Amino acid sequence: MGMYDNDDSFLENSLRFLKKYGSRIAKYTTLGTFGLVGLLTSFYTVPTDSQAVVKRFGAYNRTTEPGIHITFPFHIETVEKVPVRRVQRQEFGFRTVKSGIKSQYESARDSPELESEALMLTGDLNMAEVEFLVQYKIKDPKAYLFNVKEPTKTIRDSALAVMKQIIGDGSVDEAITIGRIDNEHNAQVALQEILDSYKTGIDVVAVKLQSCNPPKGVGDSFNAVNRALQEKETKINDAMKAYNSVIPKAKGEAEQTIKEAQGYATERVNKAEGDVSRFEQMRVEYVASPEITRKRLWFETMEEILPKLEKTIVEQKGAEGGLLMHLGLGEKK
Amino acid sequence: MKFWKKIAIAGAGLLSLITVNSALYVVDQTQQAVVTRFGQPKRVIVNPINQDEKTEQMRQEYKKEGIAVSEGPGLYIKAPFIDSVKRFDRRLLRWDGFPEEVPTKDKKFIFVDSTIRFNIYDPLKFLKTVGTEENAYARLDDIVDAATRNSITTRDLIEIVRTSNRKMQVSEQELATTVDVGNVSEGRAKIAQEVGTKSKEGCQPYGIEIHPNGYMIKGIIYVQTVQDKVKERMISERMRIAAKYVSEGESEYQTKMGDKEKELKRITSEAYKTAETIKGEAEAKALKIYADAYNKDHDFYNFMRTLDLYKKTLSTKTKIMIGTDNPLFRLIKGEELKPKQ
Repeated sequence: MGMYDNDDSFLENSLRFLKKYGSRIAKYTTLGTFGLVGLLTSFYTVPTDSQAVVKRFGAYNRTTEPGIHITFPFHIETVEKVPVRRVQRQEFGFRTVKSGIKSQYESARDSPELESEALMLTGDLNMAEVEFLVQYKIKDPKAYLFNVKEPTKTIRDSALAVMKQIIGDGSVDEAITIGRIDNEHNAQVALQEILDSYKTGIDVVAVKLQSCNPPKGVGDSFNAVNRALQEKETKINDAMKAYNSVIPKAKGEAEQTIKEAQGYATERVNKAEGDVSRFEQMRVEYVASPEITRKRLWFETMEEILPKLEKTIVEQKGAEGGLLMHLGLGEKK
Repeated sequence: MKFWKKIAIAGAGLLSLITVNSALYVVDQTQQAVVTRFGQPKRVIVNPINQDEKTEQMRQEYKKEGIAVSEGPGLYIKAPFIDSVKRFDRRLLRWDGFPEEVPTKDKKFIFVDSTIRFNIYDPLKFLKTVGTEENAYARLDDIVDAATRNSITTRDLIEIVRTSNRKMQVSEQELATTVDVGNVSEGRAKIAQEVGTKSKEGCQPYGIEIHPNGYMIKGIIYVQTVQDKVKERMISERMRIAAKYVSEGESEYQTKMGDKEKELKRITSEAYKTAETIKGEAEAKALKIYADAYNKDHDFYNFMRTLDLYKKTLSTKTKIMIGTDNPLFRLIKGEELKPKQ
């Protein structure tokens, strides 16, 4: 059996216990809870990337830097921490699904919502899909907290309005390729202007265009232009190649022809001079003693040529017949 | 009896706590408030972001109506139980419209998606006419949609798309005509300003103020059928350029090949010309040399050339019939055996 015999005795005992100690328990519990809550709400820490804005009875009181700080407890003062040193970003027309070394993105092609952000009219009444991001910092935490109810949506709306206005004032080529740097710069300036006029306390760090494309289904024709350009260049290069493989060779051959002609010319003149020189020399001899020189030359020639010839000697006037046959100078008939 | 006394004290304490709690109220930094007694406004706690003439004028009017004005957020006291506090946001608020299909003056159908930034600048007027933020959004739906529609249906599409008359750049000269879409007299920024101003006027009676830059068009796009047509046009424009490049390539190829042939013929013929000229000059020179020399002695020349001719032309295959009268054989015949004289 325990301390209590039945329900009656349990009730009696509890009542007696409460009468004796009740007020004391209530007092200590209340004081303890009060003290604990008071202690817990008296301190707060501000992370290194942030500042904290302290309100006393709802009214702005002070801004504090990173570290541990004391406040009035029991929500007489409340603290809101604002990451002023962190660069934050908003993405338009695409979303980073998973960031890391190999980030995964969802693009305008993946969802109608993203497409509606990215699809813009261009000034030449065409369309372009422009994906971009805005990087920003909170430069004034007080303004950021107290001036605009939905600061993030305000950044998003303003950035879309600004980008679509800029894209709408240029050609599709400017949107996609040739105007990108200008567009980024102009968007940053215009966005900052709007956010300042709203007193958002936000500093636009950068506007960066990501992939900018012709709308779905049109990309192929843009690629076709690039392909055609490549093809054109290939064609021109082919022609250059053909030209270069033939013309220098022809020039070489021409050079050779001319050189050969020059060679021939030199030879011809030298030969003429040689011939003439020989003739002159011999003539000098000849003039000195024409008769004998003439004969000598004649004999020399005969000596040279006659042995080669097939000769038939014919007896004329029948004089001294048969002699030649004996000498074996002729062929036997 | 002692026990019941304690309970009574606790009860009185609780009652006074509730009373104090009802008498004190906090207006946050992001808020402004109106205190009413049985529905009658008694006090306005103003907390504007911009202190200007307009807010000052508002304060004067409140005072004229016998309503107390308090400045800024903080802790306030009111009559407990009978006074109630209506708090309103003092910050810039966002109204976001649905994309609306609107025809332009030149009958182009577009979706326009617009948004507004506004604030409750006169909390008392707001309380009297609208009451809650939800009601305010409903009013804005009507006012802003109507203003948007009015401004867009009276403009050509180009006025809404473009902002200025800056010269648009193209990547291909061939596309120069596609950016010739005509000049705009107002442009998007001015039209947005106009819608903003009109909406602002419409909101005036409700104590709502639209920010001067508060009207923004965050999306304009063609309806689907027009999108398809525009895409077709874009495709045909690009294909035209592609075709032009291909034919340019072909033509430059032909030109270059033609150049090649021309150059080839020039080089060969010039070489031929030069070569023949050189040869001709040499021949002429040789002829002159020969002529000059041989002219001096025709007889000897004849004699020498004839002998040379024999040497060159007579060979083993030559048959010759030689008569014994030939001087060769004068000795054979004994004619020359005796010396002359």
